[in-house]
This record gives sequence, structure tokens and C-alpha cells, in this order.
Amino acid sequence: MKDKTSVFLGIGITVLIIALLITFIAKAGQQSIYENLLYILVTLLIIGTSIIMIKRTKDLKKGLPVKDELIIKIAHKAGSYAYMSTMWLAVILLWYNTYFVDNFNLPLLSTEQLIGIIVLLPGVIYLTFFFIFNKKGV
Amino acid sequence: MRTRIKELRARHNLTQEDLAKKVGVRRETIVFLEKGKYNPSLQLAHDVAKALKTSIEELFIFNDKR
Repeated sequence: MKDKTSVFLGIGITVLIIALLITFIAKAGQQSIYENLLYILVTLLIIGTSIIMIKRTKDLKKGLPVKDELIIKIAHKAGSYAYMSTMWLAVILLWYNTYFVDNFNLPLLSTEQLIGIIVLLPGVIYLTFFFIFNKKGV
Repeated sequence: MRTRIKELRARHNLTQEDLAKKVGVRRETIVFLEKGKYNPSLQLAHDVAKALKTSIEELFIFNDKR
């Protein structure tokens, strides 16, 4: 029952992300390169979560659990790596918005764009590490 | 650490999926255990040993060198 709940929750999250993507696509043609980056990140999140959900649904149909001690360890390790990456990402973005914008005449990132990147990119980093550890082990 | 999971699983005519179901883990966890790429918790080691009707000492071969 608990496993089924987590699968349905995952499907719900995926549907929400798809709805978000449709909203972004509706605004197509008016976006800057940074907004396009956000669409790419959202798309990667959808693909990643969909792969996980499909795998979990298959496991459930076979009567296998979707969670065990290894997957929890993998999730924790991927989460800690994503957290550290987010910290460095925040430093790099701050550096970009001060040093690079001033010295290389690059466009300044707005607060919305910074928040968008800082929220979405760690999700993609998390999924990347999740798949790496799920393939190679912890 | 090496394991004899594959050998004992074959002796009991169990597939990785069958063993995973018996133990209550994902099939990938059994794959990692067989390859010796994952050090299981004592509880999981006990469950796998029980499913294969053996003891933890028989199932897992530890290297003294670290």
C-alpha cells in the first residue's frame, strides 16, 4: 500500500511538471536563452522522473518493492551530492552576476532567473547522481 | 568482500527476481550483492542467508585486509 502511494505521488508530481512545461511552451518565441535553459531543465526533470516511475510501476507489477535499503542509501547520497553542488552553483552564479557581468559585458541574471536555475538545476543534478549510483552502486 | 549468493541461489533454483521477492528488496540490490559491490546491513544479510537456508558466515566471505 505504501509502495502504491509513492508511485501515485510520483505520477502526480510528473503530471504537475508536464503542466508546467506546457505553460512554458505556450510562451515559446518570447523567451531569452536563460528561459530556454529552464525549459531544458524541466524537460530533463520530466524525463528523469518518468524513467523512475516507469521502473517502479514495473517492479510493483512483478510484486517487487519499490524501496529498499540500497535505494534509500542511493537517494541519500545523490541528495547530499546535489546539495553540495547547489552550494557551489550559488557561489558560481553570484560570481557570474558580479565579476563576469561587469568584465565581459554579459547579461545580468534576474532574481527570477537565478531562483529558477537554483531550484531546477539541483533537481537535474540529483537525478544524474541517482542514476549513476543506481548503475554503479554506492 | 565476496559473496556466495549466486552459487547458493543456483543451488536452490532461484532467479535473482525470486530471491529479491523472498527477501523483500529490488532485483538490483541482489545484483549488487552478488557482485560484492554493496555491503548490506546486518538485517539484510540475515534475510538473504535465511532465504538461502545458510548462515551469514557461509554467505559472505570477508577479506581481512582493509
